[in-house]
This record gives sequence, structure tokens and C-alpha cells, in this order.
Amino acid sequence: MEPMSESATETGLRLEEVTKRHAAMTTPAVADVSLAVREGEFLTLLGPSGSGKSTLLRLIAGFTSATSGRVILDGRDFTTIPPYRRNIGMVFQNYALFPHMSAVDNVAFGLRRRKVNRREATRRALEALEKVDLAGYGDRRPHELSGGQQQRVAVARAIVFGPRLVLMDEPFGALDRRLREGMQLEMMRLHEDLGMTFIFVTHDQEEALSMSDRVAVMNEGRIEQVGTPLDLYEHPASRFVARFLGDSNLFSGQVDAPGRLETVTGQHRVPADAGRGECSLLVRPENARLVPPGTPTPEGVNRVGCTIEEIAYLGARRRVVVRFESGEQGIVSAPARGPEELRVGDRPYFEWKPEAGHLIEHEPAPLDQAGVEVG
Amino acid sequence: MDEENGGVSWGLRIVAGVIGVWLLAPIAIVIPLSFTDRSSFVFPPRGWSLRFYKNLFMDEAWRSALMTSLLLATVVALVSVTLGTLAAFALHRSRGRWTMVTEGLLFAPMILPTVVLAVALFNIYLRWHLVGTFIGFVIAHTVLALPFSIITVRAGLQSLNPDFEHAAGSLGARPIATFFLVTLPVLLPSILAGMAFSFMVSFDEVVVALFIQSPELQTMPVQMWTSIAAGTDPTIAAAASTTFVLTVLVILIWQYKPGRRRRGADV
Repeated sequence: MEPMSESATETGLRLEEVTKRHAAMTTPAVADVSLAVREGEFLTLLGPSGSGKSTLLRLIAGFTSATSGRVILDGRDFTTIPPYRRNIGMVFQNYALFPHMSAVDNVAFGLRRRKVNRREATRRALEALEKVDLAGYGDRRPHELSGGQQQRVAVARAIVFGPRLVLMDEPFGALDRRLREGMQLEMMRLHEDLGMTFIFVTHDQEEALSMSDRVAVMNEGRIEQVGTPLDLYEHPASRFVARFLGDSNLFSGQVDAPGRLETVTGQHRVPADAGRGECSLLVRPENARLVPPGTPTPEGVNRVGCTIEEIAYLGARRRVVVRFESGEQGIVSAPARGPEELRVGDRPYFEWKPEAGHLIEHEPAPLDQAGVEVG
Repeated sequence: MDEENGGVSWGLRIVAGVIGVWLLAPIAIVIPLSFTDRSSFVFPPRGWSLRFYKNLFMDEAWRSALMTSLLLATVVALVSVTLGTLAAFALHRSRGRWTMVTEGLLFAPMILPTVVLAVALFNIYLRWHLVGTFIGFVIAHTVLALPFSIITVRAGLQSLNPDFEHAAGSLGARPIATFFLVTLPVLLPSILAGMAFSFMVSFDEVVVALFIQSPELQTMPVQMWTSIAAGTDPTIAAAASTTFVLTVLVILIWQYKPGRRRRGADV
């Protein structure tokens, strides 16, 4: 039955140098993207609006065709296969439930198109609705359901026919925060239960980090980095990734000797084998601490002078915004009750251990030269 | 209608009331007049009878005119809404510079004075031997009704979520199935509205009809026109009342049909 396989045993999704250009645009919406998604994986495409993540998802779904490159699913070239023959489920941000059909008819739609008889289709649709906690809502029309309920119906509709792949385009973007968090947990549970491959699109980095096996960070049509959430957070490959995921302090400079970064405000010790040439040093807010002036410097730590500009109390911790001597802004996550009282206007040291810093080698031409960024 | 009355000011109510009376007053005269017992337009009628309703449905000229008009309006509604839907899709999906020109041409019958159109059609029809033919009426009225179909269906298309079709595709529906199972049902209220408008345009049309009618083929408005020009025949009041009641019935059914509360899709 397997027609024209690239390799009969290959499973999962593979994108090969996929590019999408729109006629009126000078820059491509998706540029030269290569990506492999393992079967059963939960992968998130994360990026700001306009980064090409939705376009990429629509290319995978087949709603739009690639200008060049190939889309391969389970070893089969899908590049020119129309959506209705791809067997891919899709959940839309605006739900896109058919307004003239009841919830159960919406869910059964995909089964009916696959020649499942009406009774069997209805039975399986009701079962799927149960799976998303909507037992008893089958007869409702979409407009009689809340946003969260509509999105559950949409999820049931996308999984009921056993697709090879489930795509979700910012599915919880229109829901309020608490509902969104509930839905995130449910999606993770559902993913676990079904064992299907999920590709999820979002611009919300917390959502991406908390749900995914791996995250692909997109920027200007390209994938900047693919990795596990931990990997991306601790070892970002570019300044963009460092800034997009979580808060960050970035010091740019020159590694002039192994283990030493020369910046405008002084020299900092960095991990010895980490990078060469033009680099940015990333220090996450939780890896830095503020020490009062006059404290003796312990051996082997880095220090930069700064001024406290803003303190936000967050319950367990405080978020302290500082300005470095270089004029750049920085951020520190401090315990809510520290040994020292922190006040706006204080001039403490920003201190971190060299091994807590992560060096990012600059691309041939870094996009911006700013020394420190707050993500 | 589900807004609370509390939000409407008295000023607005009075203005609306005056306009309502202004619009409905003729009906308050025509309906009693249709039940008069004598051949004059004296109001209020001195005596009552159903003789003019009997005349409307029994008299050969009136009856055949009514039948012609009903049949004609039905055919025009179907042709107009079919062509109008196709045109609306084409206009909705094309972005070329000819789109605007095509649109302008299609809407021209709405802007052009009907008399001008009537004279033009009459000239062509004489040459093509279409005067006094049913097909001639269908073509002429379709030209007039088409813009209404296009406008209503296009409004529906503009509020149609483009992801409906994507969703149907991802669920395994081929384009044809998507059209009949999703797009068309979602657009149905707009399409029905286009049909109703087209029906009324044809049923109501007198100017073009006067030019292209023949003694053998007359529509209701032409018959009304002739009867009022010839003398005082209250059958016209019976005809007007019947038309009015039918129209109101159609609108009431439209308003209260089940599933009416669908958001947005209705025009």
C-alpha cells in the first residue's frame, strides 16, 4: 500500500529546505527551513508574529504550497499532495467549527469523508467529545458553546479520524489565561494518551517551554534553533533565542584569550572552551545576584556595577531591573526576602559565577549591537 | 429584537412611529378598499364584498397575469441567484484590474435609469424577436435582479471564515464536497436573501415589462397599470392586498424559522 517511499521505514515529518515566497513581498515568509519531527513528538514552532511559523504550519497542512523544497511525511513526498489526502488534523485559532452543524456532526465530519457509516461515525464522534470532557454537549451548535468548549470540539474533530499528525495554530490565543493553562495541561495529557505527533504554533514562550518535547524558534522565516526547552533556555545559539525565551542579561564583547571576554565595562571570566571572536555573554536573571557595594570580591566571580531602577514584587521572588555602567539595562531575579534590603537608587554589584554564563558566538554580522537586552 | 426597550429614547420612538405610520397608511386604505362592493375607489367603502378577489382569481386577464408574474419571478430568482453566486465567488476571489471593471458593469443596471434600459432592451428584442416572449422577460428581469444577488452573496462571502474551507480540506473533504457540505450551507442565508430580492425585483417590475409585453403575455404590474389606466377597477386593490399579505408572510417565515439566531451569517 505504501506508494513511492523514500525509505519504507522512515516515520515522522521531514521538511527539506522549504521556502515560501509571496508575490508581493521582497523577503520570503519561510526561508530554507529544514526540520525533522519524530513520530509521537510534541514540537512547538515558537516565534514573534510575522516570523513565518503559521505559514510553515499551513505548508505542512497543504493549504499553501512551497515555492521550493519538500515536505515528507512517513517517507512519502507530500509536497504536492492536496490537504484532503494528507490525513493531517488541524486546530485553528478561530476554531473554524462549521456553524451549521452540531458539535457531534462537526467531529464526525472527517469520519464521514472517510466513508465511515453514519452510526459508527456518530458513536466515535461522541467518544472523542468525551475524551475532551464534552460528554453531553454533542447536540449543541458552535454558537451555543463557550470559546474553551468550541476549541475542545475543534481538538476532538482534529484527532477523531486518527491523523498522522495534528497541527495547532495558536489554538488558545483567544482564551483567557486560566483557561489557557487548563487547556495546555489537557493537550499534554491528550498527546500522551494518543501518541500522535503534535506540531503546535505559539508566540507565547511559556506555553512553548511548558508543553513541548522540543521547540523550534523561528525568526524572519528561518528556524534559529531547535532543541529541548532546557537546551534552548540554557544554551541559546543566538542572541535572538536568548532574548525571546525568558529574561536575559547580554554583554557583548571580544574573546581575546581563552576564558576571557573583553567588554566596554571590563573583563569577564567565561567558560574556557566556549567561544571565539565576537561574542555575547548571557547571564540569566536567576544566575546573578546583587551584592552591596564594599563587599569583598570572592575569588573567581564576575562583577559589574549597576543602579537599581525598579523592583517588582512577585510573591516568592522579586524582579529587579538595573542599569549597568555601560548604560544598558539588566534584570535580576532576587529572593523576596534577602539578607540585604534592596531599594530603588541603590548601587550594588551585579555578580555571577563564570560557569553560569553562556557564550553566544556572533553571526558574521550581528543584527544589533546593543550590549544588554531585557527579554 | 433581543435588545431591551429601556435603551431607546422617547424621541427616537416618536420619529420611528411617525415614519411607520407614513409607510403603512396606504395599506390601511388599500386593504379596506379591496373589500368594497362597488366599482369605485370611494373611501371608506359603503358596503362590503369579496367580488374583487373573485375577479382577481377568476377573471382570465388578472389570473393569467398573476400566474405569469409568479412563474416569471420564480424563474428569475433561480437564474439570478445562480449567476449571482457564481459572479460573487469570482469577484471575491480575483484581484486583477479587470475585477473593478467587471463589477461596475454588473452593477450598471442598478444605476442606469430603468427607462433607458427598457428602450435599449426593446430595440434589441425587436430585432431578436424576443418581445412578448417568456424568455425575453426572464433575461430582462435577470439583468435587473442580478446586482441584488451579487451584493447579498458577496456580503455573505466576506463574512465567511476562510478557515472553514481549510478545515474541511484537512478533514478529508474534496473541493466539491467542501463547497456543498460547508461553503454553500454557511452561505445559504445570503443566497436565500438574494433569491428573495430577485423575486421581488421581478414581481414588482413595471417599466421594462410595459415595453416588452404583448397582449398575450402580461405580468401583474402591467395588468395593474392597464386596469388603472382604463378606468376604476378595485381589483387592483385586491391584487395589492394579496401581494402585501404574501410578502409579509414570507418575511415572517424568514424571521422565525428555526435556527435563525445564527450569528453574523444572516444578511
